[in-house]
Amino acid sequence: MKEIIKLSAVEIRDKVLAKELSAKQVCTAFIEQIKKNEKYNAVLEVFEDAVFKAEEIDKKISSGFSGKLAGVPIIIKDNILYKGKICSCSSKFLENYVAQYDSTVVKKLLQEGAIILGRANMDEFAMGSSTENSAFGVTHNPIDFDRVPGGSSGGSACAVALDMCPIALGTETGGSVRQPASYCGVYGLKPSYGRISRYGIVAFASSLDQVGIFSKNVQDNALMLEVIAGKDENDSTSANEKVENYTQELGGNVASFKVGVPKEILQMSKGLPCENNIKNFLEFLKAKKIEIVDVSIKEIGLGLATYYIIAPAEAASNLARFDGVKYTTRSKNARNLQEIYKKSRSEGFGKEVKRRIMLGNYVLSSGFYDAYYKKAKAVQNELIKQFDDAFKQCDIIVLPTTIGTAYKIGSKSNNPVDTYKEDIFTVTANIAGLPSLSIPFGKGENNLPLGVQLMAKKFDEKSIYKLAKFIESSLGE
Amino acid sequence: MQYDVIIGLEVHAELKTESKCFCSCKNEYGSSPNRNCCPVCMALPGALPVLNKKAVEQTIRAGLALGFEINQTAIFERKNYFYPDLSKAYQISQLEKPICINGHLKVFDKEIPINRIHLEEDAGKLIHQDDLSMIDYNRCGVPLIELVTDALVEPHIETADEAIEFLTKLRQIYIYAGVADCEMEKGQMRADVNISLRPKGSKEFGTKVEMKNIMGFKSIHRAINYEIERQKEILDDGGVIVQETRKWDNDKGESYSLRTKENAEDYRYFPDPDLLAVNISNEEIQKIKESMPLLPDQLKKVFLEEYGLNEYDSDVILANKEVSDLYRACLEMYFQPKSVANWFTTEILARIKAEDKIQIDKENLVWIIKSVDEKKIRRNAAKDLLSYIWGTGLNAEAEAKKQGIMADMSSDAVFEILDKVLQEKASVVDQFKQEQDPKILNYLVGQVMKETRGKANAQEVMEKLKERLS
Amino acid sequence: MDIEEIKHLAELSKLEFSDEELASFYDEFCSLIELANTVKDADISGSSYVESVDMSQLREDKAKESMPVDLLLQNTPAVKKDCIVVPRILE
Repeated sequence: MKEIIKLSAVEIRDKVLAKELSAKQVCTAFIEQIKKNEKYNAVLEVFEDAVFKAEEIDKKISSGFSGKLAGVPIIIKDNILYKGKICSCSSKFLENYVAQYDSTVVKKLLQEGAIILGRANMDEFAMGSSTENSAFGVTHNPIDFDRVPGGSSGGSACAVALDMCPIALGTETGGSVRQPASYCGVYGLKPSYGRISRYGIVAFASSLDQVGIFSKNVQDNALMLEVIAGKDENDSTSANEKVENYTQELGGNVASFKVGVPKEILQMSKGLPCENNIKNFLEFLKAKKIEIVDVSIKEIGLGLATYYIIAPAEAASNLARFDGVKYTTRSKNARNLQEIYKKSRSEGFGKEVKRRIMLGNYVLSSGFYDAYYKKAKAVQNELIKQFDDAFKQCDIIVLPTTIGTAYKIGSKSNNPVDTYKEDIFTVTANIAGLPSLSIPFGKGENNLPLGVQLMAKKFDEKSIYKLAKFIESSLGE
Repeated sequence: MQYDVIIGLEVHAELKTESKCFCSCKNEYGSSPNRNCCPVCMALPGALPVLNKKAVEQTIRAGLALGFEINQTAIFERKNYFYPDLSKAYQISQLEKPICINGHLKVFDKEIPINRIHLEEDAGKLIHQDDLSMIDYNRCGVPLIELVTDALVEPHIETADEAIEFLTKLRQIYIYAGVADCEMEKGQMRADVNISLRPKGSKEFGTKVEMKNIMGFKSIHRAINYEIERQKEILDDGGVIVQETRKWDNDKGESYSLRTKENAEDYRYFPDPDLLAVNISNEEIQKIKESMPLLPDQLKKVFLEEYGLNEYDSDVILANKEVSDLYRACLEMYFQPKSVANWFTTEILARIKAEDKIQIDKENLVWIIKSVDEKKIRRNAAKDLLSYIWGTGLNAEAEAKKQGIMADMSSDAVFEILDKVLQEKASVVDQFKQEQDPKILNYLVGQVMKETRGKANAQEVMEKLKERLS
Repeated sequence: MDIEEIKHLAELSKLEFSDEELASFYDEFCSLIELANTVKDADISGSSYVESVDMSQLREDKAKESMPVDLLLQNTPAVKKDCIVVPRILE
């Protein structure tokens, strides 16, 4: 038999339900794996009660319980609330913050019998693409220790890549799941905006945030989406769209699929390390008899700047609630209200978070609002339209996930704009609200993994999974 | 120098709903601190607002009651500023597309234009004690409507009296429409006032001075007159009005500057990404129109034209919705508008003035009024009875019987006795026919009352007697 | 953009910076605004993206249980009589 930690989520569930394995055995094996790999700093805390919860699931199974994730160990990014557990967002400001309620996704995980093992490291408040902005130290790349795992959900990506869990949850605002998935050689989905409830996810930029899913294969990814997707009465922006049985649809015929490549993307990739990889990918699809069509997303180049207006603006407002008054750490040096605000926030937030709050307040402030924020929303509208048009000609649009492979820790920290450019291929899915899955494909520099993105129409995750499964199977041949 | 005064009003009213505007906590006044709070009220990480349909309906209702247009799409914006009573450090409000635009309200003979009514959330409460300020978020998220008059368009509110009449009428309309209770002492209705002066006849607007959150109509009246005088003095001395926000100190009877325009907040409004814009269809508006209760002006018409009341009585009854509700409820049981109105404008109002609330139900009240009309009880006895049972929950009829104040013989029985007395006292009757001395009538009534052991209505007996002897 | 404007933004953001931080911030900020200006200067008109919902889909006005006050204030740094406290605010 395969080692427990190498099993997929579906295999674990089936074996646990068939009592070939106990949930406790599974849980213990994965916790051991986490402990063995502590030096990667992927997991901030292993929940002490995980084994106990696993035992409970075993008992429930004995009395007839059968959940879609029965006994499956999950690691969650540290900005997803799990009642009674610390949720720090990798920030000093929330270092001791204990969640007072369950996020909707956690509720759904628990209902289906999942075991939540621990919380994963991240860039503070999900701002960054390397986990270097964590107040609790960087997470290391699972393939090359000296490199970043990507971010902001770097801990979750690393955890899956190193078999600490079969599936992990991250969150996306501009690529925070897909980019680390690419750097760590795993699958990473950013679902359609509104697909998954944001209730209980610490907000970064409300109109762009979505929970994302890391897995080692397509089927597990689809399974997780099935469980956590759906309308939630606590999130007005969650969509009233049917959640399909994605796992059932895998393996279907993709011969009629048309794959679109935006010509602007080929242009933008010129000379970048990802250029060859995307070309190889297109050749690979062609060899598999999948039709490739040229499409155009004229303003795709504006995506990055649009993102760096909308996201900081919303963040500045969303993060204003962290003020040292109600639940975040209050500065010991504050003597009056204004000092509580200023000193607590200045001591609590890290540099990148402060930078984005300032930038956000700048684009919202009087005299600049129309020129930046309002204009960015108009560009967003335009991009949505252009994607709509492009999807009239194809089912899936492909893009590189990242410029290149994972970079060395510390090599980019000095220039924020350079770092922001890392997001150039991922942000458009967030701006347009579209689903996008980064699948591991090819190798780049130093034999490090690379990814490509499969994007579809809003709420058409089904097509993405179908094609991804086809590619996964073909690569395995 | 002579000046034109322009007064602008911003009026906040807390809406009547079961739950708060953006979460399901109770919209309830007077609970212990932080009892009606959830992750949304406290702005816990990850909490999200979910808009209450009733709050939108109530805002539309307020708008329709004041002749507003209803926007087809309403957008909610965040108004960002730090203050401890505002848990999220932003207030969800409306800027570019409020629910109601362009309404008006008649004040004396002027149709005052109103710019907008928008829906927003109330902030929490701060309690200052010794060296601490204590924060209670129970009120945080209570639905609030803000009405803003249009001071750029004529006619303007120009005097303190007009401002108070505006507020009084507005309050009455909100209460009648069922939109808000507007209990001033609970802070359910609050007004900001801005005032500017310009030389008489000038077209240019003067500099506005704003006065925030003045409690109570009397204080508002004083504050306005104070501010008008203050500005006059400055202008007469050749001075310049500073654009500022001032705080009214009612104890001292004066105001002081809170902040000037240079220090004005930059609220960084932008559409709240946690909420979607709301489409308001004509059908929804129609539904609300159809469910709209009669408003004071409509009721007054009914009172004057259908009930035949005079202007004064109508106004007096309509001034308090509880009173007019009870009046109309009484008419449903006993349709004698004038007779019932008499009781309201005298007895009921006098008691409410003293005690501030109605403490009798329609059944007992109607029984008393009807009994007087049917001459079963003398008016004075009825008034005493009303006082006696007021606020006790006692039954009027049972109490009247117990006290023996009822003329509990039927008229027929009384008339039988009357006829008997007339036969027995035929000589006295003859004497009356000759002398026409009213004393004789009194004597005869006395005899009837004696025979009935006081259970007849003397007035009724007298009338019948006169009829018989004429 | 000048240092004064950065200071004003810090005030709006309720953040404090040392002079040194402000200076390095200033340089970064300029390049960030340069990036944002590509949107400002883009030749795109038209309206903002707005998603909307019908009134019938809004929440019904039904009150539910609130959070127990002990749980609500569990992470609060300073509490007195079930209230969150701060040093007295002077108007």
